[in-house]
Amino acid sequence: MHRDRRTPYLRLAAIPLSLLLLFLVGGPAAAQDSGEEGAEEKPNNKLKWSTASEVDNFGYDIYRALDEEGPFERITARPLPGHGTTDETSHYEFIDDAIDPTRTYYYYVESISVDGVRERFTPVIKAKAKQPAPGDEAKEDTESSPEGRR
Amino acid sequence: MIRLSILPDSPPSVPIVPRPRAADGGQRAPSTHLGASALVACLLAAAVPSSAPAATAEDTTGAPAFKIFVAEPGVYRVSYAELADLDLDLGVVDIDRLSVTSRGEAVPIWIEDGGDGTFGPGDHFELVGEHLAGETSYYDEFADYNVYRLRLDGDGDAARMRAMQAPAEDVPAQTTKDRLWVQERLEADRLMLRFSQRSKEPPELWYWAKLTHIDPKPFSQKISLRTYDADAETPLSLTVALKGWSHPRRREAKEIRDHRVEVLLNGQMIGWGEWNAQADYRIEVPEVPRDLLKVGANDLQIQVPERILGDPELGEPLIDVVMLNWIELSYPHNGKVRGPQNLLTLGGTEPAQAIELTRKDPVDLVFYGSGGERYGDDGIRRSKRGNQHVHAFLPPEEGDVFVVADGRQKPVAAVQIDRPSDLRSAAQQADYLMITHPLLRNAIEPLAEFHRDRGLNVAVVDVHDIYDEFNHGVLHPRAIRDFVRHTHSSWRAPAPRFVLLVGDASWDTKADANDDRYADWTYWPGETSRFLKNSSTPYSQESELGHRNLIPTWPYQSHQGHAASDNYFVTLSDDKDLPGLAIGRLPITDTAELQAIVTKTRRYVDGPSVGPWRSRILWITNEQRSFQRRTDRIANAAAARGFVGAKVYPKPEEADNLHHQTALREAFDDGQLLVHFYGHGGRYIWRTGPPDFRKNHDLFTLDDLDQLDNTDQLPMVLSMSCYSAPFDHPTADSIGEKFLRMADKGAIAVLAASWRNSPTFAFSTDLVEKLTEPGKAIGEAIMEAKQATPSREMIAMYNLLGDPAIELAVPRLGLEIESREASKGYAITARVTDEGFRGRALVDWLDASWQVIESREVKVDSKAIQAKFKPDDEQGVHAVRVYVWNEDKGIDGVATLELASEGAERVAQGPATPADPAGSR
Repeated sequence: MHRDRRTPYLRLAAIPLSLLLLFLVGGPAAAQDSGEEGAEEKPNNKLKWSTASEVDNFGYDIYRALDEEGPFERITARPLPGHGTTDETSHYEFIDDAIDPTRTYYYYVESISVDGVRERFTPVIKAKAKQPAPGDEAKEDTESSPEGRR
Repeated sequence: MIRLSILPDSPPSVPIVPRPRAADGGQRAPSTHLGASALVACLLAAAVPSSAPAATAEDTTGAPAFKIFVAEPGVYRVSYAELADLDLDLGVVDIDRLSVTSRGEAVPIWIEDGGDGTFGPGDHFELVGEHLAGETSYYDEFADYNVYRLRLDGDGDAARMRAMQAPAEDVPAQTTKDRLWVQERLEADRLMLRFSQRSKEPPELWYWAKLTHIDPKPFSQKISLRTYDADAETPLSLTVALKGWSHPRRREAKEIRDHRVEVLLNGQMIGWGEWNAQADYRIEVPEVPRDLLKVGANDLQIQVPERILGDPELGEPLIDVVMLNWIELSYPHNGKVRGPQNLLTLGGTEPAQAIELTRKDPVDLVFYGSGGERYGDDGIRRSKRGNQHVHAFLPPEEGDVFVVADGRQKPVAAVQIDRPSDLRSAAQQADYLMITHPLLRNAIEPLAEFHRDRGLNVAVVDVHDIYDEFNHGVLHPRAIRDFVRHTHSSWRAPAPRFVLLVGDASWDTKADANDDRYADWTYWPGETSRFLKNSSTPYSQESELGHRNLIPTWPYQSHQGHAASDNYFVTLSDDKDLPGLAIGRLPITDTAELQAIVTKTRRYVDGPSVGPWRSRILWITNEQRSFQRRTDRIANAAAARGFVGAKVYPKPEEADNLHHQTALREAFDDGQLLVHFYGHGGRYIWRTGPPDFRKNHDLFTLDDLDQLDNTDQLPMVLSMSCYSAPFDHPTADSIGEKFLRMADKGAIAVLAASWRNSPTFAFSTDLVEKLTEPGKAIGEAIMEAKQATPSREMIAMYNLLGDPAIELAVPRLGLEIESREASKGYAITARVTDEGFRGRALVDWLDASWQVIESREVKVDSKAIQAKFKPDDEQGVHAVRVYVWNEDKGIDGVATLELASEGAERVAQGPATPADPAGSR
């Protein structure tokens, strides 16, 4: 009889797995009329990510910094709820509208399992400034960085 | 004490329409408050075999029998016309011969025959129906309908309701103060949970709602107390059933429990509970303060409070996740009945004591006791008090009583002809059991006929006949297992060897169409701004069924939670999980899909193209060296028997996978006998490694499948990974299912897991060895590999999608290779044992890792094949492989000779097994 040799690595951590996609979508460079009377959209950075499957996933917290090396600060007042245990694709989105459009920001997502374990779920991704700082006309890049995109 | 529930309005008769369903975060009224039309419609879609062809009078022998489907407790009415509408000539039926049973027990009925002693046009009968209770839950886990079986030729086993007499005028009737109670069970099965643990008892799968400390607002349920008796002495009591989910890895302090849940009524906390672990828990509130209760609507809230660990300012909240299962209420009733039907639970009253109920409108009431009592015109003393109509009756000693407004008996959910079958007959014999949903019966016949022509005795069995004979007509997967065991123990020998389940399965027996709850969207390579709809096989609005649970599967409880397992059906004893015969499934829902698989299967067996592809195995793994080393060992063992092939092994340092993806598609298109994937995967993908989105890690996706062009060289796919084929998903596709389902391409069969697992090296080794044995049916090869593995999860979780009775197109000609003396390099002579063989030969010289160094194709027109090879100095030759074939005759053979040292004389013999039809053992 063969020895039953197991390959434990196929059983991934008991947290969200198989991250499919994470990218940043830039909000408007400045407050704009969204078409609705009286409604204005604030400049924002939008994080989207998706999981192919999840195991015992409680949710996510989002961290932000002004420097790639940190210090990072948690900006979610409460975690974004996860989908628990599923083999179905799940989509998530977080909008950070408390930004200074002239600053570059760095983000990462932290996952939280139902047993309370927190792990960094994504690498740090960069969101470039949306408009040049006063007196810094050279900076005209108002697009969000595609860095972090697969 | 009498308990009363307000029951829903009468349902429609037989609508097969989808039920709207709330997304996870939405709220749907619990079952006891559901509009019956919505409830019954969806339940019908899930369980009633509505699409079974209506039988004609010629289909039946003797008096016809019927199955009556009921979803909820209530008093039901079945008319003669409903039966006659099934295109049957019922003729005149003696009422004494009408009998109704449920799970084999006689059920009392009340027949309204117009006084002529026969059951005919204009007549009906009544019965008290119960909902189908589950083994571990209030609602059954597999079906929504209780089944009552009606015979028109009963022979003394009939039961009748007893007509009860009203209390005499001088018998005082008591009011209902403190003696009439409402009991409501509120439960909605909305979320299927896979707890990552194995419990001794089958866990409850379905829950109402998920509660956490980060919920934006508490769970809320409106409770109507319009019939609450505020003057009664006994208060309202309430029970909330919960289960803990979160389980903190580290407990901060003993006094802090894992879970805390608070129950509020109209804003005031009335109860709370704290407990640890993933355990069931009930919060019981025996006496809800009266001053909190309102006669009308009340707001019940259930919440998980935020609890900060450590410093109140700096500490983190405890992760607390709890599942709500059900809520029960019990409160005294004020004696005023309303609505079409009410359920009373009796208790605590003196049997002789009459009870009176009042009603505003002048509707005649009929009472039905659970012991078969019926209180009609003669059973109720009627009077009027003010504007109230008073109904007094002598209650039975115990049990429940339905109070029904006359004429408001419910129509049953469906009536069907109960067609006769004889699956229990010991005179039967079959080698191959094809268990099919009736929708697919005609479409599977060509495959059955195909195997009959090959020498197998094939029985095509309607799964509903199995339910009828092995579970009293009620859908339950255990009935299929019991049937298979019965054929093995009681049918004539030889016993069946193969089982094919013809139809898809779904874990959502409470199914409905187009449910947004199920993610049916998938990653699409190159797509960055949105997600695309997955090309799966979703519910269809036009579908006759509206669900995918044609042939159920068994819910195996793995360490990682619920997993689909067909292996359960072929276990021949309760002691072991080991399969006793081979089983496969065709996970499809319509005839076009089935025809595509049948066509593919027949063509593969009848005459697949003959050529080197039949000796190739494609080995795929991920970038982890441990996986690659193990795959190498399996590949080397296969190569030693003549089966060599390409390896797709990604490397961590590679920037992307594009060349691997291309290589995979090309390898599929070139043709492979087997494809073995060993690595990380998911429902839609094989991956090169664990999650890391910095680079493309998708190795093979549903999109790649669409690009295949391998019509005449179909492989069997062994996907040794997590959930490549969770075929029991209600809507979403999977890579394993699609491989099999695609017409004219993809794979001839797939072995893949239904949930998370760690595939074992030994299991793969055994599988490849047995599958490449000439003449061995793939289902039996898998069965033998399962019988040899100690891993319960390999046995239960890996399911064969495909026909278990076919064999792989393994070369069968006998072939001998002998090494010869060579002045330099190597020389061999190969001989085909079939002396008249003419055709082509492929001679492959292989290195120590069994990879091809040199390959030459030669014509074979004589008895012996001579070949020489002079390698470069640095090339180490380890073995030579010869594959011979004749396309016109459709024959081939393969053998490998290991060259231990230069010039050594050795002889190798390839598999020489004569053509061995599946019918022979």
